[in-house]
Amino acid sequence: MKALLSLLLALLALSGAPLFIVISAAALLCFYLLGVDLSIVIIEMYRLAANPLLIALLFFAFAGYVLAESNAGKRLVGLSTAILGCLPGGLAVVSLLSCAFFTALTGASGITIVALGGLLLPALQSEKYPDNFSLGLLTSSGSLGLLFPPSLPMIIYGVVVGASIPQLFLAGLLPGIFMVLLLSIYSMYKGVRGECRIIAFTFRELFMASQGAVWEILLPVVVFGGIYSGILALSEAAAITVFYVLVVALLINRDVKLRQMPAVVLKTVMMVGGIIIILGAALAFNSFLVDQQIPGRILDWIQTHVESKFVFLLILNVFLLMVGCVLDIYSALVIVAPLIVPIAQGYDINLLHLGVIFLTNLQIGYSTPPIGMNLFIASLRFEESILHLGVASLPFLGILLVALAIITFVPELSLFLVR
Amino acid sequence: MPTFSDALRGSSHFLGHVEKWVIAFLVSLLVVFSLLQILLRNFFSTGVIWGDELLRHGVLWISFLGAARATVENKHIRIDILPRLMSVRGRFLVELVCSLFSCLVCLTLFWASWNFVQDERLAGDIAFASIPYWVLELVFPFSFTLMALRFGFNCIDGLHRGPEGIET
Repeated sequence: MKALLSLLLALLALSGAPLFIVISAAALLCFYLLGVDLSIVIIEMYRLAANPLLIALLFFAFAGYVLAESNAGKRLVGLSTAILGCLPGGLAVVSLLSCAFFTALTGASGITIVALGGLLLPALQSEKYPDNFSLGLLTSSGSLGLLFPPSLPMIIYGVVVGASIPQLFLAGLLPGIFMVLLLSIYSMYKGVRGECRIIAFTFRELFMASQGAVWEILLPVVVFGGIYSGILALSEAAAITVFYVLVVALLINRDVKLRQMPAVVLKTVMMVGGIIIILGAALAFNSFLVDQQIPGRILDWIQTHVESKFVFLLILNVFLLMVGCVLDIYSALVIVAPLIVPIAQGYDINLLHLGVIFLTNLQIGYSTPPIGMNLFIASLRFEESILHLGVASLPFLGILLVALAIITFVPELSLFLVR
Repeated sequence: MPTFSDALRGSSHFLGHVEKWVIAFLVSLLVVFSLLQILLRNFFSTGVIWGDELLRHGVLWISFLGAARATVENKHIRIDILPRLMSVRGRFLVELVCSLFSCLVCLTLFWASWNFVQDERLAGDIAFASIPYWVLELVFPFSFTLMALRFGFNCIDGLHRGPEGIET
């Protein structure tokens, strides 16, 4: 009976029923079968209102959407081209950096590919980069930068497992830079071998470009200066970010109009609401699991079969890669993280390091079939088949997997800045 | 019944406008209030005591209203592997079943939240500024009603249009 119901729910989930509906249904069913009054589900959901960090999620997401609406992307590409365009493979490195920066600010919701892809693909092609290389680069870069603050998935991870978010941001910094670095080396190698053109460096160009982008470049300095100097709490820093971005977009650069705002707010709220309602449903479902001591039982079972931390980490990575292939990053975090955390702690794995491992895996899952979101969005944006894009992304995925292995087995990379 | 369906669509269009402005208003309120709190705390070493409680409930309201809006615009996070592999007719049936199922789950959630709010009303605790908790918690029954109606409307609309009306 129970197996049949679980199968039915899984089938509905794969058929495209909204995930919050499926998780809520699971929670309702479980509590019903236990004979508990169903208001328990709402009581658990109401715990959302006790969380002081969700407002940071809303504000950072809003700031990101405003930036995406403005010409910030164009300006960023302009500035990094002026600085790095003269290197071999320069434009490819520029693409990596601007995608990472933009994704950090907007969360990996596909905006990067939509906003920057159309700008960067023709630029790469006109500098004679091979088609497959350019498509693969832009497709897999759509989720690069998830480890950089103020990454929304990182805030969700912190909320779900109760880790300090400013510390998480610090932990993600070096692994994030490491991934960008590896991809950059590969891009420069391809740039040199393909004899792609480089762009001459002029101080005039640099001056012009930095004038345009100076406000966006200063944003992280203002916000994270505020957090790490201890002046601002995370949610306050998020409010300041919204204020800063609005002033820059509406009053200084004037590339977003006030009357566009309600639509931008609505887009933000639909995305954030979609995430938070899943979080609410997962709170209810997880309270059932904890009540039944299921994480403890899984831990016992695994510990009797897996002794070494090394093997556990290996299994964890394979598992998370598979999760990343079928679930999007937010649902994967709210459903899987609460189950994995107690198990990982049984193996003495640091919560912050675990967060970095989680996000790196899920980032890679974004570009892998069958439901890698990057593939779908890139396929719409570049009008290429998903299969073609999947093949073009393979070299980049390979490099990211190497980075993942190093990030997983060298915890110091994540924990160096935190200590 | 084209007139019934059209009337539903018309009223949902109107509701959409109201929703957009209510949400925009709530978000601006939240931003202004947060900034005010920062100013008060840093420069005047004071602050509204129940400010945090207000902000947290504001986020709850905005999120659930946003989720209700996402129902209309099909923006909910979902995994739709199976429908991609199906014929138009199969997709039509699967979408119909999913909408019906979602509508039923939302109705159950509405019922659960209605009971919850009733209990809280009897308890009668005050959250802040003489607003009782149960009023703040009305967001649950309200948004689940909206979502149930919208999923129900998707069913009716789908049946009305038939497999040919499906978006490709």
